[in-house]
Amino acid sequence: MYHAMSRKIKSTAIISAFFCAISCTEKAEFDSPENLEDIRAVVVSEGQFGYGTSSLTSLSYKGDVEQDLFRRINNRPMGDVAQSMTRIGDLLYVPQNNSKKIEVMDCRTFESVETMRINEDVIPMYVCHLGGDSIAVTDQKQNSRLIIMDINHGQERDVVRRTVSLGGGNRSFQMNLAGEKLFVGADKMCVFDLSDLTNKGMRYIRTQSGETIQTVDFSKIVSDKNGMIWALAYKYIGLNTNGYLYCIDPATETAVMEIDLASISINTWTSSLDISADGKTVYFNSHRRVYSVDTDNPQIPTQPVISPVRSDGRTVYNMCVSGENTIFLCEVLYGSLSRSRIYEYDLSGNELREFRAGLFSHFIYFY
Amino acid sequence: MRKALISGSLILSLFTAKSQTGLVDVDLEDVIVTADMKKRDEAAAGTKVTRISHDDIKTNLTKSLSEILLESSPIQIKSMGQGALATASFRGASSSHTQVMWNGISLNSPQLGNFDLSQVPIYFVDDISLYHGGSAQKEGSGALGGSINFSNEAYYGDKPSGSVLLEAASNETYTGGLNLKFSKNGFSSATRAYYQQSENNYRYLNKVFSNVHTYERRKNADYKQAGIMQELYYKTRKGDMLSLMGWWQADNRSLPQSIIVYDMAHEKNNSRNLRTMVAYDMKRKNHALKFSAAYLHGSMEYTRSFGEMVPDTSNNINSSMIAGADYTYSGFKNIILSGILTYRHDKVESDNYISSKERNTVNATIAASWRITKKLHIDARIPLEWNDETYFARYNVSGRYRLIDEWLTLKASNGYNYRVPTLNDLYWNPGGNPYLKPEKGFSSDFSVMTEPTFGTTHLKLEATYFYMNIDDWIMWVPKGNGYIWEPVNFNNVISQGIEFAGDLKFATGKISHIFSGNYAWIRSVDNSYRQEGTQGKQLPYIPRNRWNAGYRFNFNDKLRLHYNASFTDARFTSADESYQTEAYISHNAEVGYNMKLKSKMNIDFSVKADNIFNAYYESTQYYPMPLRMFWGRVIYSF
Repeated sequence: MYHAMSRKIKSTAIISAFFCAISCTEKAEFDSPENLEDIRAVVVSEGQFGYGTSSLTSLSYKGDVEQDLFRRINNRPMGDVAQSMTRIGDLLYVPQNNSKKIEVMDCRTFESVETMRINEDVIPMYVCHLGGDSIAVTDQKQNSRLIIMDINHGQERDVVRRTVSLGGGNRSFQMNLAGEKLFVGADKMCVFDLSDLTNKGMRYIRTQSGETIQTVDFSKIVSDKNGMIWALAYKYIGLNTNGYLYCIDPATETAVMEIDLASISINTWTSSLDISADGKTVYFNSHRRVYSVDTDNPQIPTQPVISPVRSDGRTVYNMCVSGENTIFLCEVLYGSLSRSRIYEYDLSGNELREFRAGLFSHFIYFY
Repeated sequence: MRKALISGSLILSLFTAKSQTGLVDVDLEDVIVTADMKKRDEAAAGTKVTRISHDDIKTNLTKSLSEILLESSPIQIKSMGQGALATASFRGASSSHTQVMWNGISLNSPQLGNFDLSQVPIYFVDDISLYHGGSAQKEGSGALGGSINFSNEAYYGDKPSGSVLLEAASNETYTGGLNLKFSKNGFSSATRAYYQQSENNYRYLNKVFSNVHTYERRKNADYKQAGIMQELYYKTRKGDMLSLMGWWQADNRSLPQSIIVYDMAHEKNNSRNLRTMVAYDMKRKNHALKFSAAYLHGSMEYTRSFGEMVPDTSNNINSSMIAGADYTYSGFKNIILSGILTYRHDKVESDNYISSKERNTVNATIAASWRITKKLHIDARIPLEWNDETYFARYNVSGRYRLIDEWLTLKASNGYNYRVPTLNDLYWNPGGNPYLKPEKGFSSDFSVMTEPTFGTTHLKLEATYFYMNIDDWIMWVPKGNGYIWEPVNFNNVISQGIEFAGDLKFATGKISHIFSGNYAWIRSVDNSYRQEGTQGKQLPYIPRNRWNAGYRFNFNDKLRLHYNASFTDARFTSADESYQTEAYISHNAEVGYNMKLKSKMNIDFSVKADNIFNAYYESTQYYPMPLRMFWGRVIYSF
């Protein structure tokens, strides 16, 4: 009897000890980024659709790279399919299109300030500050709406003030605020007066022949040094598309110049447009070939500024121009979940740096 | 070609039948003795087998097969929550590498390759065995990781037997079940009916959407499940057994979304499944023959709706016909020979295919089981498969050696296996890749086991090392802009690890105790060079460590207590180990009281608490599981 009890006690003790030894689990914690002092740029990556792996990667002036800033600092995922980054004061706004929210964070610490949930059937893409406490957010959904939101953070409020229909079949993307007018890149590019942000107040931008303009999906709408608006666009010709570069007079809201890019293959969603810091030169890309156009003397470019050759199967997902007039290419490898590679080139075509960011890097914000 | 194969197999069977007669020692490891019939264990001699105890089955009658396996086995379960899709994987392989067999019939979907374990109410199951390893399964290919075998048993009691079950849970889950069995003059019938509905609006802590952590209730996770199973058996005077089984089940469930995604749409999945089979077992002296045929029909309607808009709907219908013969000859001294021939026809009609697709598979297996000495037993199998004009061959050799009686047994196995791409892999539109090659590879394992008994105390300990090397692993990866995915053959995946399993049972007077536990350490890595930064990294959703442990207390078959804890290590959710879910332990406990009434009538009361310590955990990333939940159950049986 004693031996039986002893065996029981031993068995119980052994198993209990086993439980105790391995039952202490630690919550996953992330190391904090070391270098947030001299950030030059932040790369926004979409992440894997549906998996909540959108991320931010910082590049410092020294060349240090920090991955996954938001998650490491806030100890939670940033969201699903991040699209862009807009700075308003000291805050950064990052729309997450499959989470239907905008993460708002401090531009220096990346600590979360607010999560602005959008209880609407929309795909939030880009943010534009309308002044005061209002922002406009574009929507990639067909029959899209412009979402007007309240940024009085820390106050109880309805974060979505109202939405403005952009008309049938119209998806909307990047925006540009020129004076008192808001230009919206879309399947039918449109413009609003800030004083009348309504569907009735919406006008389509038209070419001189009266056609509407379909902008390249994720391409910027930029203003040059003379205040003219530039947009990269395309038209369907049969089943194929043809690229165009438009210069738009914000006063007349019509394209005063149309540059036919038939000789350059413009992709309807991976080509991008950007402008030099001095507003004199616009740049756009066809895959890795980046072309420039002088805004004072626009000509159809015949030779690319840079045209790096690599046979790694990667695709350029975005092209940006930094404040130092260097060109950044975000390259992704379709058919895999490999991290994106970011390349920086000077205007002579020299590769200045290469670093990795998150999955499907799609946007770079320069500080 | 089909004729040639069938003829070949028949010749093979005749060849194996021509032999001298002789007595064969019955190896207790190879035989499962049930109430009134004996059936050979399909697992080879050296295979590691995990049997889920009848106590565990009884405790979890209203759970699904996935939930009981999570608590009581070392295999990995990936689940979207109660009542939602749940799949199992063995030893670092994927869920499509797990064959799920019902009374010897593979239930794996020809479309997906895997099987949704949430569709199996434990109420419909009498016996569950897991065969670990890539070549343990006797019939059919595809079980690169292992197989889950659940079955039903004929009832041959003196009097009719039955039970009525009612259960309610704190997440508004209500369950009812009915079970009636009787037998007379060799005829046996068992009827089971089951219904469960759940709002499944459990509480969880949302820690991921924003910095403000809030308790929320799960939305859009409701489901209804109803099923009926009828078994008919007839045993002749010669001991032949005719079995007829039918199982109809309907599942209507909402598909909740990840809490990091905010989708205004509602998704629903309605499925209907009819599974029928007929089998005839006969034995004449040294010859045993089993004929079986099955028809499986499944339909699944997926709808996605938003507000008042017309919902998007897609329909998938698949049907399978299976016929087979299994012949065993035990006339040689110490050697049992067997031959199996099966034919399977799968047909899928899907809105996601350009046209309906069919597949024909013929499998012929020859096997020998040789008891060389009383201590040494070796099994060898060579399955050949013809799959839509492509031939494959597998092999498996395994052995068991009792080194020191019940104190030390050594087991080992080695085999070559493969898995053909699923019909979705080949034909899904968009993304299907008709040029995929089958996955194939070698697997080996080695086990040390001890099983001593001291009076009323029984101890069983088993330690296993396994190694798998799989080429052309199929994985779906983003294509184009990332919104479309396609399957590709990756170069190579190597999975190895160690498994420990143990049971300790002892009794003192009217009190019995059972301690049980499983532990698995798995290193399953991607050896391909297709994706940067993933070489040598653990495959997604394969935890490096997993264990579960349980204790059962029983007093005089009246009062019982069951405590169970299961640990799942952090699991990477991306191929480069950048993202992971947290490790967690879930503790569950049940207290039950069985009140005996007159004759054989009983009323059994039990209360169960799941996740007692309110652990936050996700079975799939951003799919939070319930905090503490309570279940109350009454079973009247006679």
